[in-house]
Amino acid sequence: MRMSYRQASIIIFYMLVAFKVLSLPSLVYQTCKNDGYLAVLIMMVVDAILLWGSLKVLKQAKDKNIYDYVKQYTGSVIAKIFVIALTLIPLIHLGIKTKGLEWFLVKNLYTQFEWFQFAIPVSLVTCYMIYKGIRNIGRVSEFFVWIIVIGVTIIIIKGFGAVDWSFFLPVLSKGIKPIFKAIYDYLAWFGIGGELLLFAGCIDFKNEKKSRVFFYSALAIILVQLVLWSFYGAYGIMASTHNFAISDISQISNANIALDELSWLIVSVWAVAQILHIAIYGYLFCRGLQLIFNIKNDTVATLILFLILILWIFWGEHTIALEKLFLHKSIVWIMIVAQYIIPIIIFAISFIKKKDKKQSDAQSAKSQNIIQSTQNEGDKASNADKSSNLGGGKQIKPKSKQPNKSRGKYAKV
Amino acid sequence: MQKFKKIFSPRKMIIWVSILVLVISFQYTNQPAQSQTQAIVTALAVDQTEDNLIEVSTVVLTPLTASSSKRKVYTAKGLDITNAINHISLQVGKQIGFGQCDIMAMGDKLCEENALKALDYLTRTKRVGRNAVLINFSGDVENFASCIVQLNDNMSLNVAEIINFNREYIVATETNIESFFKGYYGDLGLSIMPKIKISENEDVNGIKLNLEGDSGEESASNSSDSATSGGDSSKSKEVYFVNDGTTSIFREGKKFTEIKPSEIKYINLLQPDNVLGTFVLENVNSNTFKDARLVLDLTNKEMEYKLSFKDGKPTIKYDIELYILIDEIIESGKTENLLHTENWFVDDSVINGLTNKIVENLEVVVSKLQDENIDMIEVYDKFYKFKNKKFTKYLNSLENKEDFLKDVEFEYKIKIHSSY
Repeated sequence: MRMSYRQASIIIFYMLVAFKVLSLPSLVYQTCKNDGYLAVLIMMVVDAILLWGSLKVLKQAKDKNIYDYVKQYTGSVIAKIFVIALTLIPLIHLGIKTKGLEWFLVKNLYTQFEWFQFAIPVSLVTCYMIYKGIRNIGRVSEFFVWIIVIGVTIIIIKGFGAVDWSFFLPVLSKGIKPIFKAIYDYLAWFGIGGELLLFAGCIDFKNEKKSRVFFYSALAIILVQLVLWSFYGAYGIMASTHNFAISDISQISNANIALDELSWLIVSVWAVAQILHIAIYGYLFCRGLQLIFNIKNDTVATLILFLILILWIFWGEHTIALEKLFLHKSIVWIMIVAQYIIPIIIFAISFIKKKDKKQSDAQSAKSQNIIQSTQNEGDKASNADKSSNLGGGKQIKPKSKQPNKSRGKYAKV
Repeated sequence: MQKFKKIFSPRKMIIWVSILVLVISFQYTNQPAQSQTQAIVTALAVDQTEDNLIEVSTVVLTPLTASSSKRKVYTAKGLDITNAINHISLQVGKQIGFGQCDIMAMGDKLCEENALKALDYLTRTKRVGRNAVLINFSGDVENFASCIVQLNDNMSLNVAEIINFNREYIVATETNIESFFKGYYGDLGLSIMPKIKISENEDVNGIKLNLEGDSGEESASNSSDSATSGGDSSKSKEVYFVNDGTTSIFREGKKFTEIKPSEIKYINLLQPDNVLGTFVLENVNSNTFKDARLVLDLTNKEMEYKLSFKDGKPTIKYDIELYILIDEIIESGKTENLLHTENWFVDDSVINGLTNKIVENLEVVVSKLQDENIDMIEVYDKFYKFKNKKFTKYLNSLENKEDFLKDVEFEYKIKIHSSY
């Protein structure tokens, strides 16, 4: 079952906001200081532009999954390499997200928290959501989107009371270099264009309204920027010591105290939204897994994800290596290749092929016209000969679509 | 295989998941309640003793029933804060939890030595909230903690609220752990803390409190119960809790001076937020007053500043408009003129007198700040943010960048209005 265009727009909103309002603001501050919001803004705009390219490819792919779509132009080996690279992105994002959610719960909501108390319920819930399919994830996303938007807005308003706007001055005092360094260092926290391609064949473009994606992308950028301004402006040079921007804004002391209880409720809603994020990235990972290994059984893919999540959380709990892993240069280069270079190659291929197709369509239409005109002339001639026989040129029929080979529910949709 | 598939069919999976959840959750049912294993600390006072030991006093909240609780003071000494807190943990028989601690007080000796080492420890590992108010106190550690309990239990006064009042109306800036860190890690390393005196001598401006037990207990295992008032009069002791608005100034985490409330009043005129204050004019002679002493209340304030450079030196021009109300008139003779309401307005002589007084005092206070290099009026911040290039050039021209304040020129334009 495919998700509607509206649901896809909302999932894009979730993916754009996903990593930007929790640990990223404090990480970026360490490199960019008061210009941190600019690094996030630049990357979100780049991601939004790539997102349009990905949507064009998804629309062009129609019922095909990304493997089949790329294979028809490049052959199976390159297509497989591309899919492997694209599948690594949701895996990295799953790692950041699960670790972030665990820290968020352990540091903010509970004093004592065993790893399995977090791992088992979160893995069960997200895997069940994934098993039920993308349309169900889309529906849950639809239900929560405005609750989250309103909640985050309330937190932002609360934080604005304590914002020192002069903190953002002078702009770019250390130049543009720290901004690009921050983008490079924390690239794993950005990107949407690559992994979105794994949704090929999952979106129903029947009720396509481009303004919808534009609206939700703009909303995501604005919301993230407001969170960053609120967070940096309120905490100033101490921003680097606050690891959970969205919940720490709600704890600013000199804001309206009456909002305190409410803001904790909102922070809890944000925790629910993070489970949705894990479900979205988990779905993309399962889909990639099925395409790579030709797994036809959906349960198998979901169980593999379940085990990965449990092991991931266990490993993260017992070693600090996981936190350093996402900052490792190899991860950064995987992200550059998978999230930015491969999608651009796919856009280029699809653009060239589309152009070729247009040309061939025009040519075939032209040849059809010639046949028809020849036939008309023949008809005229036969009419002139008072002949009663009806004739016609050979009608060119479009090639019938080949049915997809089954690659399980995620691959097949 | 068929049997296996039947047992683990999707429909039966929910039963297996329920069993798993029950198995995990049941193991927590036989664990003791957190209140039995954790002691809730609501306030903490730390100081350094003469023999360089760390003395820690904690106000521990002990639940009695579901709706009532009792505060008790526990004190211990140790080689460091960890050691002293471990002693308290042994006294109480519980883990000490600082998550609810909203008052963090530090004695003079520790502040002069290095206030940051205590703050760093408590915020890094003990989860003391960064919104906890910071206090610098003089006097005995245990007496201070006992005062907190006495004020709360017998007078319904919350010390954190008293300090928040200071923040609102005296120092005009946050005085919690977060703001201390902001100042410490800022370019100038300047931070402030409100000062509270615990005096055994009579002080008319202080709150008189009767504390129980001997002060300065030597043994780490000793503790005192300060939650109840009265008791054995032979052991009770009178102390005065004095909050006169004095503010301690820290550089690089070490206390180096104090600013009096009379000085802070003028510093606040140069701050955008604070609008509260009173001014006194002596020997006022005008058509309305004869040799009068006037107490004038500041009801509103508008302040703007302009930054410029003269001969490469930073100049800051303050344009301040004050709205004044006559609060109190002390005249030797009859004040018949006050029967006429038009005389309730401040007249030109009052305006001129007050303008001169404010300018004179501002010059004195600001030159003191310049001499001691205390940038309480955020001159560095203003120039760095709004005149960055010229200011950086100016800083580079100095031998010692920390002395930047000495060459800054201040100009004041005061305009006073009657707010009646």
